Amino acid sequence: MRDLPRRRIWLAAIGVLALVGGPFATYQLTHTAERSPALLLADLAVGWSMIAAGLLIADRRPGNRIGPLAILTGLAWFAGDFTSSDVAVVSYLATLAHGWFDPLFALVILAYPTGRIIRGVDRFLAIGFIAVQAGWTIAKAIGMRPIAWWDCPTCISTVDAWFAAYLALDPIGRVETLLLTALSVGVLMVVVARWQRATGTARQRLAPVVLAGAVLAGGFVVTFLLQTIVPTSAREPLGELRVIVLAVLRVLVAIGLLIGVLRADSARGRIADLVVRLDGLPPLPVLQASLRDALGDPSLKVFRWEPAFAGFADAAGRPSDRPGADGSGRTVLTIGDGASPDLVIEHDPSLRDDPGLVSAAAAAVRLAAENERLQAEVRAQLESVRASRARIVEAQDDQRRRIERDLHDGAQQRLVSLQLSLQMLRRSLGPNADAGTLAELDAATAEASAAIADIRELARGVHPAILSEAGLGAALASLADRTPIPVVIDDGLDRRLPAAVEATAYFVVAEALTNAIKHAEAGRVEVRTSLADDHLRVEVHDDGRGGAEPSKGTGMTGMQDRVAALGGTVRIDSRRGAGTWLEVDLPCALP
Amino acid sequence: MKAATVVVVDDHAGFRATARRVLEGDGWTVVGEAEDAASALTAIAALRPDVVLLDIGLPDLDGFGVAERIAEALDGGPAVVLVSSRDRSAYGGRLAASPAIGFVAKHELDGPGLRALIAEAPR
Repeated sequence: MRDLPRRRIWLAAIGVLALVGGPFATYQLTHTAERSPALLLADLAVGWSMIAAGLLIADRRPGNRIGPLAILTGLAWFAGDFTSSDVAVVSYLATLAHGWFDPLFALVILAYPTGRIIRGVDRFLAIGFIAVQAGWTIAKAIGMRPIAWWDCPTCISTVDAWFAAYLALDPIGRVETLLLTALSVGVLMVVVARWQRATGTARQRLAPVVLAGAVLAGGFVVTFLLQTIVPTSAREPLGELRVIVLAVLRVLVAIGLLIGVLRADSARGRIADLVVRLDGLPPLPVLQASLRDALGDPSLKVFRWEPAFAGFADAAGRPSDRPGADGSGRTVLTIGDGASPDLVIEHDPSLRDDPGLVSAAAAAVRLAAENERLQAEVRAQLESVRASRARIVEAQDDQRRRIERDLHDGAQQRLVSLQLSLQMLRRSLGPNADAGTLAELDAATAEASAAIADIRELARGVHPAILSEAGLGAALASLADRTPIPVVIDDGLDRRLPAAVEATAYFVVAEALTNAIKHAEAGRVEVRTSLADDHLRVEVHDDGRGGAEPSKGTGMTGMQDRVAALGGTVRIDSRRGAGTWLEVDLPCALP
Repeated sequence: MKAATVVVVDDHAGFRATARRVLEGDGWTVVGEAEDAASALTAIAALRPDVVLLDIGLPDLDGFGVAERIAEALDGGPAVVLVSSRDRSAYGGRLAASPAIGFVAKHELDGPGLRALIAEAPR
C-alpha cells in the first residue's frame, strides 16, 4: 500500500507532462510549414491516446510491460514533433528520437496482451525493429554531428545546414524504411496468423492487434511507396490525408489495446478465483465451465480417464477418443501421470500465446486433483477406521453374548441339577431323618442357590439376555426394576434396533444409573428413549448433586468410546447442584 | 387323582434326567423326552401329554416358537410350561405374549409347584 501512492505520483506526473507537453510538441510542427488544424489535432490525438492507454494499463496492470511500452510509444510520438523545433539543439535531439514510434508500436503489438514476447518469430521481429531503428539513429547522430549547431543553436542557417545533412542521409533512410516495411509486414502476418488460429473470445480479443498490425504495416508500405514511386509534387496533399487517416486508426488501436489488455489480464484474476473455487475436484461439467470462464475459451473441453472402459470420457460422461488426437490442431494439456493422465484439457491453440495463463490454470486443476486425491484417501482411511471400530464393538458384544450363554448352558445348568437333586434327596429322607444330616442338606441347597444367583448376576452383567430377547425397552425396564432408587422410563421405541446400538444404549444407561447412585447420590432418575431420522436418542437425567467430570472416570469414558465407535455422540451437562443430564445420539441404520 | 402325563423338552440330558426324577418323585408320569424343537413337536403329537415342560433355549427353534407351534397345531392341546436357567426377568414381555401358561425357573422346579401353576391357569 505504501508503494502505490508513489507509483501513482509517477504516473500522474507523466500524465501532466503529456497533457501540457503534447500541445507544445504539436505546436512545433507549425515552425516548418503551414499545418491544418485537423492535422495538428490528429497529431495530438495519437500521442495522447497512446500515453493515456499506457498510463491506464500501467495503473491497472502494474506487472504488464505494455503499460510502460505504450507510454514510451506516445512520448516518442511527441518527441518526433520537436524535429520541427526552431531551436537547433532540440531539433537535433528530436531527430534521433524521431522514428522510434513505429518500432515501439511494433513491440506493443508483439507483446500484446500479456506484455511478454515469447515465441521465436515474435522475438526476431522485435529485435529486428529495434536493431534497424538503432542503426538509423546512430547514422543520424553521426551524419549530422559535424554541423556545428552549438556555435549558434538558434540560427536558421544552422537548421538549414542540419536539414541538408539530413537529406544527405536519405539513401540510408530509404534502406531503413525498406527494412522496417518488411518487418512491419512480418508483424502483420504474425498477428493475422494468431487471429486465424484463435476462436471465440480469444479471437475477439486479438482484433485490436490485427488492426494495429495493419496500421503499422499499412503506414510503412504507404511511406515506402511515397518515397519510391509517387512523384515529389504529389506527396504533400497525399501526406496530410495519410497522416490524418493513420492518426484516426492509431487512436482506435490505442483504445482497442487498452480494452484488450485490461480484459485479457483479468484472466489472471480469474485464475486466482479458480484456485479458490476449486476446493477439491468439482464434477467434470463444473470444472469445464470454470476453466472455460477462467481462460476465456468457450470451446475448451475437459476429459477424464475412466478405468471402467479404459478410455476418456467427456464432461457429459460420453466415451471419447484420445483428446487432441483427431488432428484438428487443438492443443491438449494433460494432468496427472504423463503416460496415463487422469485428466486432459483440450483448448484453443491461441491460449498457448500466453503459456503462463494455461499453466497457471493447469496448476490450479492439478492442485485440486491432488487435494481431491488426498481428501479421498483420508476419507477412505477414516471410513475404514470407523468401520473397524464398529466391528470391534460388535465383536465384543458377540463375545459377551456367547459368554453369557455359556454360563447358563454350562455351570448354571449343572448347579440347577445339583440343587434339584439335593431337594429330592431331602424329601426322600422323610421326616424321621437325622437332624444333622437335614441341616447339612439345607446348607448345601442354600449354597447351590446362592451360586446360581451369583452366576445369574454375573451373566447379566456380561450381557443381559433380555436385551437380545425382548429389546432395549424391556431391558431398560428390567434394569430399572433392579435399581434401588426410583427410575422412570419413557420408552419411545416401537421397533428393535441393531444389536450393537441396543447394547451400547443399554450399557450407557446402566453406567449412568451406577454413577447417579454411587457418585451423585441421586434420589430419582428419568430415562427417555426416542427414535427420529434413524437416530436413537437416549436422555438420562438425575436429581443428584451434579458436577460429574466424564474425563475423570473410566466408566463414562469407555461408554463415550463405545458410542463414538458407532458414529454417535454423548453430551453431558453436569453443573454442580443441578443434577446430571446426559444425552446420547446413536445413528442406527435400519436393521 | 390320575397321574398327569408330561413331556420334558431340553437340550441338556442332565436336566432332562433331573426333571424326570423330580416330577416322577412327585407323582407325575414323564411319558417322553425331546432334545430339540423338531423332535419335541413330533413327540408331543404322538404322545398327547397333559403338560409340556419346555426349555426356552433350544438349538433350532426357541421355546417361544415351539409353544406357538403347539398352540397352532393342537387346539386344546397340552398345557405348555416354559423353563429356563435364566430367571423370568430375562424375557420381559415375551412370557406374557406367549401361549404358554406359565414359566418356571429351572432351580425352582418341583412337582407341587407345577401342579399349582397348571391349576391356576385359565383353560
